[in-house]
Amino acid sequence: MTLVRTPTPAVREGGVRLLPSAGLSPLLLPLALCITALAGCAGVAVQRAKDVSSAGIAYAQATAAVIDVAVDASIDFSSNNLLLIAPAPPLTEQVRKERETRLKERDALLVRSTLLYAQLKRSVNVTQAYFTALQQLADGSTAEATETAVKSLADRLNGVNQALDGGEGTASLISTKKRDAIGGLANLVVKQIHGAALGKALERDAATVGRALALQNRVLQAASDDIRANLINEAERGYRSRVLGPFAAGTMERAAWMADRKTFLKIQALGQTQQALDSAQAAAAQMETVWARILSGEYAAKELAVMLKDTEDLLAAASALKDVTAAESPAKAAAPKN
Amino acid sequence: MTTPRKPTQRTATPRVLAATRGLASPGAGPASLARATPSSHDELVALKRSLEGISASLNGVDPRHLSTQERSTWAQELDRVDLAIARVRVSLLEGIVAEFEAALPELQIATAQLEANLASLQNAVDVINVVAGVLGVIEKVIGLAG
Repeated sequence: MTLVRTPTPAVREGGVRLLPSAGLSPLLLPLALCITALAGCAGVAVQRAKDVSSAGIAYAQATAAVIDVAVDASIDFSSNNLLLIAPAPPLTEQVRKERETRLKERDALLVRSTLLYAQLKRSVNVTQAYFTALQQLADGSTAEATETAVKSLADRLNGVNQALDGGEGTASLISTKKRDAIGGLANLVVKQIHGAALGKALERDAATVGRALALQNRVLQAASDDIRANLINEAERGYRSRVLGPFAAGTMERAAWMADRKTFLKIQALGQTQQALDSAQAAAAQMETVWARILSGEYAAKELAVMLKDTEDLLAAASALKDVTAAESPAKAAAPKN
Repeated sequence: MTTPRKPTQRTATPRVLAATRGLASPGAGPASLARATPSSHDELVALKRSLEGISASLNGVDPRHLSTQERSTWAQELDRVDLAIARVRVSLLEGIVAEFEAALPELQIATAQLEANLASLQNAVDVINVVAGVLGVIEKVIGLAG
């Protein structure tokens, strides 16, 4: 069975507490050993749930961040194209009307896609809520609290017993050693219940979450494509006007030209990192496979984070572009107008 | 400098054709867009990438090196491609939204089950504490009666 692993320190500690010398009846020893072994499995399930939930939350947060950048990128992409083909004034009344209609048509589509991205972001948040609930359940072991409660219950039973026998000198119904042993046993039982609940939840929700992750991957891909398309066009435009143009004319200013050249070449390179992913279907299937393998223990939950590596590169490129265009705007504003 | 993505050659489904109507008839509005189904998702992604590749190629042209006629054709093409990309994007996102919306109820039920699991674990401790508390009261009552 793949789930059986080396017992965690907590389980070993629990095992020690259940030794016969601690006051537990020898008849209960096999039961205690069984529970100790099961608690080992439970520990693995708890750790897996913790890893999976952390990775799932990170994945949802990254997707939401990419959506935000994609909304801006899709609008900028269209704006740059429109600016590039804008005719020089003066314009006839007919051309003006045509241009107005054309802009409104594009704007209606961009408003629609922005709303759809917002809707997808809400759906991604629902996925994140699942992983947050899983994390809370994984972190929410009541083993220690149960042990304390059971010990307290044993003390109260002793107290009632002594009160019924009417004297301080009456022997305890449950000795301190037995009380501690029962408390330790309760701790292990709850750990087992906790681990079993998590294991069952991961198994029960595997298909649902796998589907949601695959859809999230589609969102990530669509948003990444919008960012990448804008990066490629912006890099091309920036390279032509700020690197190639000044170089050909021999008018470049050394430091600024070197910085621009480096920036636009890097943006262009980073904007093309995911081009190897030709099929959206393949990527979605890959996500479902990765999820299934994480649940079976074949992969570590880190695999989800590895799948985000290209996304991180893309966001870095988008951030670099934002910096360079932010630097460009004041320069344009300061430049004398022709 | 740009290495545009290669346009993908595929037979378009009616949904994909509907999404790209702008290339053939610029007057088609967003309301007429068909919703993407899972089977057409891949095609829409490929089509959008192909259009983005064309857009990158057109963006790579320096209009200062074109004649007036060439510049007019180039601007028209860039304009049509831009509109087509916007249409395909809407269709693509509508498809994903529809699929995601359909998957959400199940996900919300799963989340509620996790919350219920956590609550039941905490309830068990609460019950033991309540029993211990009741026994404590009984102990005091017996003590007072004695």
